[in-house]
Amino acid sequence: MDLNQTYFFYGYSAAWLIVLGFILILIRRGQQINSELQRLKALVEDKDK
Amino acid sequence: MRDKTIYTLGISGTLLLLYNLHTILMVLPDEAAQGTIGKMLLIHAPAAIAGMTLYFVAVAYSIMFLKTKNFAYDSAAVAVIEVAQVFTLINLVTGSIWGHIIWGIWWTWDARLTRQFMCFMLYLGYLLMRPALNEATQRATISAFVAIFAAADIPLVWLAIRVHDARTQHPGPVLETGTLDPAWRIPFLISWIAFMLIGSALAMVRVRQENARREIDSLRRELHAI
Amino acid sequence: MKQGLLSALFIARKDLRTEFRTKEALNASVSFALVVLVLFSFAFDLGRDEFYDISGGLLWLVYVFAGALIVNRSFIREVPNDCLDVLIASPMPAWSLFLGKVIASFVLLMIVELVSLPVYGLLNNIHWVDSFWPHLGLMILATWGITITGVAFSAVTVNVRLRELMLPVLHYPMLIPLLIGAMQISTALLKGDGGDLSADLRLVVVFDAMFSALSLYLIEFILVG
Repeated sequence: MDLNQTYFFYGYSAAWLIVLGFILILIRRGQQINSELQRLKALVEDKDK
Repeated sequence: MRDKTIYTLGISGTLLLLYNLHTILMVLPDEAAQGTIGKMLLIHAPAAIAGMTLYFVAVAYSIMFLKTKNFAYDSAAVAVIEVAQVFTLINLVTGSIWGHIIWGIWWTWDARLTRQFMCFMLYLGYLLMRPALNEATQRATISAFVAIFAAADIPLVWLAIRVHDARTQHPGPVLETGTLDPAWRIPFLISWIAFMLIGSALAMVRVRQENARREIDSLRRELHAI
Repeated sequence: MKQGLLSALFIARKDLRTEFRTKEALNASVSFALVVLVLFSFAFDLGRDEFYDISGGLLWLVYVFAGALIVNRSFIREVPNDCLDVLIASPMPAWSLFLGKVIASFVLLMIVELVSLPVYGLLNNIHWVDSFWPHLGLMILATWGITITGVAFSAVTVNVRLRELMLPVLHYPMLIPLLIGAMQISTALLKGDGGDLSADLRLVVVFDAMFSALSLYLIEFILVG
C-alpha cells in the first residue's frame, strides 16, 4: 500500500472512531445519570416515609 | 416506542454506511487526479453538510425555546449541537488527513477550513458554558441566546475570509459547480442520509439524558426543601 | 421609544459617573493596554517596514484585551447589593438598561483606545497622526461592535460560575469577523496605502448592525426572562 491508500484508510477509520468515541461518551454519561437518578429517587422516598 | 425508533434509525444509518463503504471501496474507481484518497470526498463533504444542517436545526430549536419556554426545545437544541460538533470534527479530521497527502500540509487558513473551525469553537463555547449554569430556566435561555449569536456570526466569518481570499486551497464546491461525476453523486447522497439517520439516533439518546438531568436537578431541589 | 433612549442615557451617565469617581476599570484597563504594548515590542523584533505590515493587527489585539476588562465589569458591578434586580424591576425596558450599559462601556473603551494609540505610535515608530481622523471613525465603528457583543455576554454570564473564564471563551471567537475587517483597515491606514477598503468597512458595519439589532431584541429574554 502506498502512502495515498494508507492515509485514505486513516481518514475513514478516523471518522468511524470519532462516532464510536461519541457513542462511548454517551453510554458512560447515560450510566452516570441513571445511577444518580436512582440514588436521588431512593433518597426522596426515604425522606417521604 | 422511543427505544425502537432510536434503534431503527441507528441501525439503518449504519447499514447504509456499510453499504456505501462497499460501493466506495469495491465499485467506484479511484479519482483520476488524486488516486484512492480522492474518495475521502464521500465522507468529508457529507459530514460537513450534515453538521451544518444540524446547526441550523439547533438554531431553529433555540428560537422555538425562546418563544415557547418549553424545555423540550432546549434539550433538543443541545443534543443536536453536540451531534453537529461530532460531524464537524469528522469533517476537520478527514480533511486534515486528505490535505496532508494532496496539499502536503495538515492545515491552512483557507476560507472553508476557517469557517468549520470557527463553528467548532463557537459551539464548543456553548457546550462548555452549559454546565456552569445551575438553574434550568436560566441555562436554557442563555444557551438559546448564545446559539443564536453563534449562528449569526458564522456567515460573517465566512464573508470576512472570502474578502481576503488570497489563500484558497479548496477547489470550487463540487455541488455548486456541478462537476461531481454522476456515479459519485449517489454515494455522496447516501453518506449524507446515513449521517443524518445516525445523527438523529444519537441526538435522541442525548435528549433523553438532558431530560434525565433536569429531573435530577428538580429531585435535588426537592431533597433540599425537605 | 424616546423615553427608553432617555433612560439609556441616564444609565450611561450613572455608570460613567461611578466609574470616574473610582477609575478602577479605567486605570486597570489603560495600564493593561500599556503592558501589552511593551510586551509586543519585545515579542516582535522586526524592521520598521515589516512592523507596519502587522501594525493594525497588534493594535486591535491591544484594544480587545483592554476591552475585555471593561465589558467584564459592566453588569457585574450591579451584583453587590442586588442592584441588578432593582434595575430590572424598574419601569424602564430591558433594552434601555442594556443600551445604557453599552454606551458607558463604549465611552470608557474609546478613552482607553485614544490613550494607547499615541503610546503605540511612540513605542513602535508608527505614524498615526496623518490618518487620525479616518482611524477615529474606524475605532468608533469597531469599538461599538466590541462593546455591544461584550456587554451582551457580560449580561449573559453575570450569574454564571467561572464567568471570568466563560466571557472570553464566548466573546473572542464571536469577534473574529469584526477584527479581521478592523485589522485590515487599520494596517492600510497606518501604512498610508489606500487600496479598496470598502469590503472590510462593509463587514464592520454589517457586524455592528446585525449584533446591535439581535442583542437589543434578545436582551429582554436574558434579563427579564
